[in-house]
Amino acid sequence: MHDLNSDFKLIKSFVNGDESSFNRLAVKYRERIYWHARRMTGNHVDADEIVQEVLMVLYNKLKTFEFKSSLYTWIYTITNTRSINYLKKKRLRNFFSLDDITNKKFEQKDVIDNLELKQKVEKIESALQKLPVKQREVFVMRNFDELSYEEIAHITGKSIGTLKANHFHALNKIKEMVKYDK
Amino acid sequence: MINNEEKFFSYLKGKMNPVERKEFEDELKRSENLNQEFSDYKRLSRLIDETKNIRLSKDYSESIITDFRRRKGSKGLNKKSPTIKYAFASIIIIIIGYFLISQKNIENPQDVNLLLTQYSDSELDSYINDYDYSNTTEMNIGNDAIQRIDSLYSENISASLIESIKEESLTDIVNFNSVADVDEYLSEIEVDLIYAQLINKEIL
Repeated sequence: MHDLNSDFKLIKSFVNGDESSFNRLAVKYRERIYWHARRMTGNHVDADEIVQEVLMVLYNKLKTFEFKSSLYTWIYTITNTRSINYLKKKRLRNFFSLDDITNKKFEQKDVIDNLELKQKVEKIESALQKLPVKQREVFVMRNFDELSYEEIAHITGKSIGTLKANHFHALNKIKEMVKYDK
Repeated sequence: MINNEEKFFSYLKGKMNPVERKEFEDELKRSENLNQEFSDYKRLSRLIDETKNIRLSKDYSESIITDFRRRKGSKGLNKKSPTIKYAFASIIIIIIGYFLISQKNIENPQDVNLLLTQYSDSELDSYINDYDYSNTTEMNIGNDAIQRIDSLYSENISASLIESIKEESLTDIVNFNSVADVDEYLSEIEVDLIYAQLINKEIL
């Protein structure tokens, strides 16, 4: 359960001009934004870029947030949309062979200290990246974030039947990949 | 095929009541296939559980806010011209869309995926490079212009088409209703580079 009162106070304080309140919100949600973006994109560089984009959207739109859903759901929805847009953008850049140019300015960073965990993350990331985006999206939401199909439908705007079908295919593929990849 | 995932998920997450739990455990004892399926699911579930709550390194976590504040401060210096971006986004969509649809007089972009899956990689390359432009007058575009477009993009397009087919996502690229979205996909540098390519090849 996310602390609604705390979020409400921080947003109100930020809207009234206290910049440090935004920093506190960013600190609170940064890891969740990062991990969703990372599972969707499969690498740190892209995930980092999405984190920055999401924070910029939050900064600019927080004033319009009406608490119709929890702040976390709102941030999660923005992160998911931004991740999918980013993947489309990347495909478009590949289409015009621009990726090498735009990626040269970034360097890969170590963001996981534990080596064993890092290998496990790479294993699951590699499997996730072999899924089509629509299957990856529902798999990540269902299995990593433990969202119900109703919540996923609310976030993605897709029907529950479609989501279940996509998840079914994703699960079967990933199970096989993890099974044979030692 | 039966989808047992919801049962597995509820069982492992403790979301079954005692009666459902007992029924599921009895079912597991009776069916070897279900048992095997459940073992595979548990293996995957364990891997996910181990990797889902990893803390980011302290250095990186702290750099997120610093980086955001730095970018926020310099945002005003990199303001793009929305008009130019929309114009080039539109041109790119038209070129890609026209090229793909004209391959087979496809009326509905949704059919592109289906059609292209019928070709092997080599057939697709060959088809794109040998394309007959006889029907281009219907589009009010001159043959010379089309051939120049083709010479510039045939390599990129064939490679990208093949990749898109593998990802079953070609319709994402050929979505004529998303010019505004495409605007977000291109940075100013990327727009400039595409513009330079188009000018160099005398397309514009």
